Amino acid sequence: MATGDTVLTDESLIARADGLGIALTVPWYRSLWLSSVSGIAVAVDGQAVPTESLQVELAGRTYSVAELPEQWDTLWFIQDRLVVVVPLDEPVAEGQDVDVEVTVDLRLPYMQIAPMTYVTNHAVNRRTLAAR
Amino acid sequence: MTATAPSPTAAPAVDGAGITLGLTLYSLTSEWAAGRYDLPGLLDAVDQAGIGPGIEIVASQTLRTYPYVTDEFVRAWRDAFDRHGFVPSSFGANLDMGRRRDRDMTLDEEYEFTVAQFRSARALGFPLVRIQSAKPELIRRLMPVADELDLTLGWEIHAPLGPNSPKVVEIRELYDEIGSPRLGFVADFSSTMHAMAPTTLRKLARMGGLTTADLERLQSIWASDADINAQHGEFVEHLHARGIAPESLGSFARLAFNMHGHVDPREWADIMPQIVHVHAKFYDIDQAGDEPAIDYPELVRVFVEGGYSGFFSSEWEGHAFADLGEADPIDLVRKQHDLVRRSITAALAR
Repeated sequence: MATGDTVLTDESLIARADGLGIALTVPWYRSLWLSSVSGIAVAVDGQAVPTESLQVELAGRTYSVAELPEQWDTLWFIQDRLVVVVPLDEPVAEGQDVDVEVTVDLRLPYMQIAPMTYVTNHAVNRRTLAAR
Repeated sequence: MTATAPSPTAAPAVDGAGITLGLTLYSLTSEWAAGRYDLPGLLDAVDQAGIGPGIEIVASQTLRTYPYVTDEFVRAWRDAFDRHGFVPSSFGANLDMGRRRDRDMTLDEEYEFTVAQFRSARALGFPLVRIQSAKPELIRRLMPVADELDLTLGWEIHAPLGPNSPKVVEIRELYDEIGSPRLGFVADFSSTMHAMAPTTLRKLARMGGLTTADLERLQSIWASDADINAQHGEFVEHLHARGIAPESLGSFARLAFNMHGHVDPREWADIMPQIVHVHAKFYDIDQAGDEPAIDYPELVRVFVEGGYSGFFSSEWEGHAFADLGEADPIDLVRKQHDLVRRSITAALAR
């Protein structure tokens, strides 16, 4: 579904020389500022990947997960994919199946409950997908 | 962009009543987010299905350069609208007050962010902007800009609120003080449902493993008159007592209350002259051609008898609960338009 929990699509996994790329869809019905992303967590084959080792790419720029809340002027357009790069010792081959779980936490910047407090969304997807 | 475009008008859905038809592109959120269409392709698909003429957008969903538009985008938009004979109906603005993490927007920033969207709306030919904040200082500051750009502002009345909810009554009083015909309301039919949508209940049951008894509890909390925070709190307490993590329902433990309201449809008559646009919300159309949780014949009767003149902009929100490909939003909107036309004809015959 679009409004709540779609993070991964059939085409999400990308084989890369530097590891595994995971292309994420905004788990909401509209585009959001990158600052709306409170957190991203990834597990591969059930093993949590340390958040500090993840890199996030959007429109040719690279961020750490911790830097995202500061990016209030960068729009994650709903048709664009945020690519999370997971460093792996052994690169994933094209066509190889990988079990990934991605959690995205959002703070919805237009749904204010009280000053500095907003409605959140917690989206988790776990799927086994073939890398492209 | 400060150029202005004329706002064309649309023909009534049924002669003798002022209701005109159209849709919000939000109905196709899943297909849009999946990249199944670009904007020209999406407008082509709507036209091919014979749906129109009113086109509404949620700006933060449709505009890549939100809250702004580029000249190139405006040209392509106008070309497509001319080609299809579409009419811009409502520009859905958002107020992203929590864009920064260190503080909320200041009043100046709220004003600037909203004015940017007003200018985008005008450049795209929209006569009306759906607004999300009716903070008095903000509205008063925006009025000269609305005058300059010839825009009507509609504050959206959405579930769980209705026309006579205390918050809405406050806004009605503000409108009375300002006394401008540019200020009105967008009526969202989520406010006036007689049941929670069956599709919502099915999805919640699936996500959290809720039993029939849990769903009954949810619906009884829903049917109470407590405010949304209290309802949400009571449901979360119930989930905890049952050993169900509220997070397993994503944002829906709260949104379930925010997406369905149980106000009497006749209350719309209390503010009919101020209703400037309608979100004809729906979740499903059953075998008989009816919406299972929203009484369209009754709603349409209230609007026809109240002399409403304006759009019924179809807003299919089933995508919140259905996976991509599970339903065909375009086909559903077509069926809903049939339901609205049938309801208008019945109301006129009374």
